[in-house]
Amino acid sequence: MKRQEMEFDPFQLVDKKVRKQLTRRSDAIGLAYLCGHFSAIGCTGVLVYLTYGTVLLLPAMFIHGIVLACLFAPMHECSHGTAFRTRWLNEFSYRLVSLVYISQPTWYRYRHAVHHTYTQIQGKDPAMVLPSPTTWQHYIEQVVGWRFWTTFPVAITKHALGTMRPQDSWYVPKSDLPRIHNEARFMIAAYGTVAAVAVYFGTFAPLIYWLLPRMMGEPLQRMWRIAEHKGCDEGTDVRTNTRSTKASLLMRALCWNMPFHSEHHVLPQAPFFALPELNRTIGDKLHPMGQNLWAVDRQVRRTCIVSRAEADRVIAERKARHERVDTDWLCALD
Amino acid sequence: MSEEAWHFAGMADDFDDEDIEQIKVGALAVAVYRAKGEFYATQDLCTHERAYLSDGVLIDCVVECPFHQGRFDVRTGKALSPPVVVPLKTYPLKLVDGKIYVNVSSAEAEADAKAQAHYGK
Repeated sequence: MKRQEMEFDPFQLVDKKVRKQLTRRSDAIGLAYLCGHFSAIGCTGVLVYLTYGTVLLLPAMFIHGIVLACLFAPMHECSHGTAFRTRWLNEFSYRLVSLVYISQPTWYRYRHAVHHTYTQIQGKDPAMVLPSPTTWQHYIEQVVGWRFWTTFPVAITKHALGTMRPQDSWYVPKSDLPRIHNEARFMIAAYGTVAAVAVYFGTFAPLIYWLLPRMMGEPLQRMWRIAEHKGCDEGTDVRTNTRSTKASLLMRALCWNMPFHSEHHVLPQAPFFALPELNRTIGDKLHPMGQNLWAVDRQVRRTCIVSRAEADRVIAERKARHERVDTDWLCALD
Repeated sequence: MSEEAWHFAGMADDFDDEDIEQIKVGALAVAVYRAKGEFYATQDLCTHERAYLSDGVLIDCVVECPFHQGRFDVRTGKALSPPVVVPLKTYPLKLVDGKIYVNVSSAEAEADAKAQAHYGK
């Protein structure tokens, strides 16, 4: 697909000179956000330490997990190359954050590029969250991150062994496969080393301070993924296939302004800190903004979820019409 | 390099640093860049998914595609980072009395436009 073949070219919304202004990158702002995010992880980690052995441990791990899971935001920003002006800083941060967040950088970059090309096109958008028809089982599996935790280990192991899932191989050029295979080997070696050291010293620290909180924080991230596109049109017009959602200042900071998601899809080369300004410029021309995360989630649950029988009927109808249906759950990883 | 292959591409003074403009030579779109005070020209169409680099971002001597942020060195056309792997074609450029000229013959423009028709398909 080319931009000119989209139902609507979003660049028509923003004058070229304004685009140049809004796409300026900044190392200072990127570093402030990244250092802030890791400082927040440090603080909530101390909270976990202080509450260890008390009834407050689980709430502390939950808070720590939310901040950890929000590392999705800098990971995503770095995948676009928009977190910093200086490229090596962007790439170094991308790899570091991806390792902690648990995502494979080059693979994610390719997958996410396809998401921007085929946003909300069933069977083509590998980050399509809850493609319709959606059942309660799909919704719950998505929110708790079940699909992610069961799919990612399989995918990364395949990469380390020099292969790839069939549903992924079409969008990665053969010339870049070795890079993905080597990244997977490095990540498995890194995680394996952490596990080995923990076993050697007889400590549960990686579980208490990283993996379990990361799993506990996952649902909030998943709900943001749902709010970004679910219930919007399944078509190529960025004005209707993506949703921005109002969020508190704290949540906007933790999510690096990604609740301004429509604006991000209009101008993916704009850095996170330019998105509020872009919202002021073109927000009224985009999908109506969600009032807040909970309101959007409630709306999704009320309007998008159907029974399993109804889902089967819709899928059969679509297949009879030779329409694309995403039954492989390509979205499981994003 | 024939004289008739030089095409006027704008006035140098109209370019701020890190500006990119598109010119058309027949069906071929060419991007003209001002990077670190120097001028360069490459094919405008990204080699990845059919977006124009003239809509993208120029940082130092690296242009970034507006669609997926694939990056190229505008001096050499080299593809620098995923999702782009195929380099850009570069075109000779000269400055005469503050005017920018890009060298693309009609036959070359037609052949290049034809070669680019399959990108992203």
